[in-house]
Amino acid sequence: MNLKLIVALVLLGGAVTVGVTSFRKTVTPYITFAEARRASGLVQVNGVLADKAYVLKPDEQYLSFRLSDDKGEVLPVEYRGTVPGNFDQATSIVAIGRYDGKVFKADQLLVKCPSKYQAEADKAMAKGGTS
Amino acid sequence: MNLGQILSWISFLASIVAGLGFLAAAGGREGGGKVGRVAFRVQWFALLASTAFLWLILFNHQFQFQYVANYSSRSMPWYYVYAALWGGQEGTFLLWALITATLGLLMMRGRGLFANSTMLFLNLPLVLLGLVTAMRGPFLMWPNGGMPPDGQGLNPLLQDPWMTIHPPVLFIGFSSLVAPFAIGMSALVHRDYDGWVKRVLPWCAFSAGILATGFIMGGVWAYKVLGWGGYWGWDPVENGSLIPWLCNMALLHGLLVQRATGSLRRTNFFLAITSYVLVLYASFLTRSGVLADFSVHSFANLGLSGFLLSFLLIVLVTGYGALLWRMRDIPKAKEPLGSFSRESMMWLGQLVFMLMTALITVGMSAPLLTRLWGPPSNVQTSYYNLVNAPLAIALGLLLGSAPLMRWRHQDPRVFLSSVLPALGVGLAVVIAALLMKVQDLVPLTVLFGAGFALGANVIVTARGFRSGWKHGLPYLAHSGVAILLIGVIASSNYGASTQVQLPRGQSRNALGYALTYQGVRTGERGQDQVVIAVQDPSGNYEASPKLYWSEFNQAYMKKPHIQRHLTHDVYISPLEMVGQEEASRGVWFRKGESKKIGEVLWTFVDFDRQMGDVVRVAARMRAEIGGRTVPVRPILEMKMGGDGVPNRIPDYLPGGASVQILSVDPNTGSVQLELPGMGRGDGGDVLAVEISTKPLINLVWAGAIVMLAATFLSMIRRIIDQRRSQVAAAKA
Repeated sequence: MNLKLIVALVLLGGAVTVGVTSFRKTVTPYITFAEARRASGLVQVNGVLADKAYVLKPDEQYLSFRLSDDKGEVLPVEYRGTVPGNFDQATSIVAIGRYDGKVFKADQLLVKCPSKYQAEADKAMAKGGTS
Repeated sequence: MNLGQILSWISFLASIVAGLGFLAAAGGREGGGKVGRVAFRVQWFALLASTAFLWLILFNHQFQFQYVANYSSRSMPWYYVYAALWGGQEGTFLLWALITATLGLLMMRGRGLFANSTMLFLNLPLVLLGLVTAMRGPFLMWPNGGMPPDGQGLNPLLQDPWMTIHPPVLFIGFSSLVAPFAIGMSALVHRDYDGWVKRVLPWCAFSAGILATGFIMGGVWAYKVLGWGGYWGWDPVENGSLIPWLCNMALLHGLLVQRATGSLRRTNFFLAITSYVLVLYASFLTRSGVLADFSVHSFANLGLSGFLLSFLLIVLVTGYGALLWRMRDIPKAKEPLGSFSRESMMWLGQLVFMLMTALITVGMSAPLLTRLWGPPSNVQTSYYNLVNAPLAIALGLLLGSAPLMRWRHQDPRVFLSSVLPALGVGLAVVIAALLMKVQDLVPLTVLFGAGFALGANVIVTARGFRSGWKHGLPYLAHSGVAILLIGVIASSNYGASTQVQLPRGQSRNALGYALTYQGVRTGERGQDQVVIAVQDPSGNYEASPKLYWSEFNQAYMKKPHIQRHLTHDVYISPLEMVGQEEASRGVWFRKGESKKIGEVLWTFVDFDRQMGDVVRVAARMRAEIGGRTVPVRPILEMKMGGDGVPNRIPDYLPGGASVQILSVDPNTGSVQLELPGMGRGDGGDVLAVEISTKPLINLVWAGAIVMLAATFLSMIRRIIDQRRSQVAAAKA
């Protein structure tokens, strides 16, 4: 009985320790732009393309753009890597990275695109409603 | 109301009648069971007929139904139209109900109190699914008789042969976990704490095999189609299918311990309920939109989060409520676990499965959990690797030691002598890895554990097969798991990878292969392929990954080329086409000139100029599409004294396609534009690709096949055992 308890507790304790440390090491909060400017670690920000004035150099795998949140605040973002092909039609962009004092250096971009069928369905619905 | 809706209502009402009938029968009124069984059959027929009707309207392109218009189109080949049944949420719920009811039909052959209350609990999710299908199902039509001329079609990413089979297999797996839940619940109600083990084992093995088949298929699809080079990404959707499976694995091993020694009774009830709770929790997380900000998948929120949450809560409260109610009544084992024996190792293995389940569940719930104390956060995928690596080591060691041990009590000295050959295999794997320059401690330890498990299980498999086909099966499945684990470590950590730019016609070297980009070829269904000649020391070949513009996604779609070898795969994934000379891409317009490109008639009206620090030139364009005129105004910006690189600000057509200025010729007053539908993808002269090697990837597939085959064979064995014991009981 004791052996059972000891082994189980060791396993459980080990898993909880590994779980908690890994969680804290890898968790990246979703935060506002103001918080992102103050934060030191890896964070996620989310917003939409503020304007169409972005610089994309595919051969250098470089992209810089301005991200704007729902309050209209704007954050300049720089990204190096493979640029998602549908980047300029994104309805929402998630950037994971850190703020270096001037721009937000993104390691990773998640780009969510308008679901085509949804938009078309809304259109068709509107058509159906008036006819 | 159309036929589909009528059928949905019939199945919903029948599920209520069936539920009431089984409730009466479980309370001891035998007449209720008869009513329940008849109503249940009616329900099954109605569900089958609705599914058939949905296929009928899909194949006949009845676009007056919203679901048909949203998930299929006239141009889709028949096998994708067939797959559109589960292309959307509403169809998925219908399929879920149909599968659950079919399993119920199989379980309904039993008689007596126990069978009736099992049916009662199996019927519970059917009532809820029936309600949502009747209210919001796939048979809604457009209001006021509207009907689009064509449907939207299915996302091309999903248009892959694997997608016609992978989702239904997963749904069968998910749905089948209702069986352990229902059998466990009725065992609790009727205080049959040991008898349920034999009944539930075949179902447990069935779920284990089907779910594993489902996500191995998903892995193959990700590897072959998505082109990011892996087969598992710790995405919420993948995690959602993994956690019920891990919980079911814990249950399967716990049941075997209970059958042999009588311990773990409460744990097994807890796990049987939790497996189904996790199915519902995973559906809630991935289908309700609560994770929408945290995943690249776009989850349409159909307002179903309330429904899924109440579904989850009802099952959770009934399940854990029944367990708590019977908690003190469930007898304890005569001999406690903890001796040096097989059951103790299996129990520890069960604990490892439970910890994996818990840690993955915590990880995928991070956005909800962190909201409790701060800004919502998500964990990086490295979290899952970090927490699972030590558990995988423990699992490997247990997987190797348990089969070598006896039940009840194992003499440590005898164990020591039988364990040595297996330890030798583990060491051999580690030495082989060291020779291949694997130097990191954690992967080496996982490899040792996997090698040890492989050695031990191969020995026991051989021993088992000598005494009859069914005795070796579980160990054969374990050998498959060990092979799979070795393949996963090798292929995901130790492949080489590099990005290379390939100018057309020139040879470039990458990872020891000479690559020459030769041009673009139009493949099946108009999907362009890029052709690359590869010179490989072991033989030359032509690689033809796909890179084409998709109207549906308004994006480039890519599909890698995989060159298979026995020891490794060469994985060539196209990244993008880089235009060297932009002049070849655009169309020139003089002032007032009109040109028709694709469906659109373009007219260049005039320039708008703005001078200053930044010179801005806007082109006023007119686009006529199907009788409608849309103004479009792309801009070219040049900073004076800047780096000379112009900034292009595109403008968009209503559909989202972009128009941009490539260059301006002030002398002739003309503008060069890049317009949608110009056959993008074939204009570039430099192709960027990522090339990587996947060492020992074949071990992943081989291990998976061995594991699956052995799992299904042991399911058959459990069914045979159960039949025999029923026959024996009938004779006695």
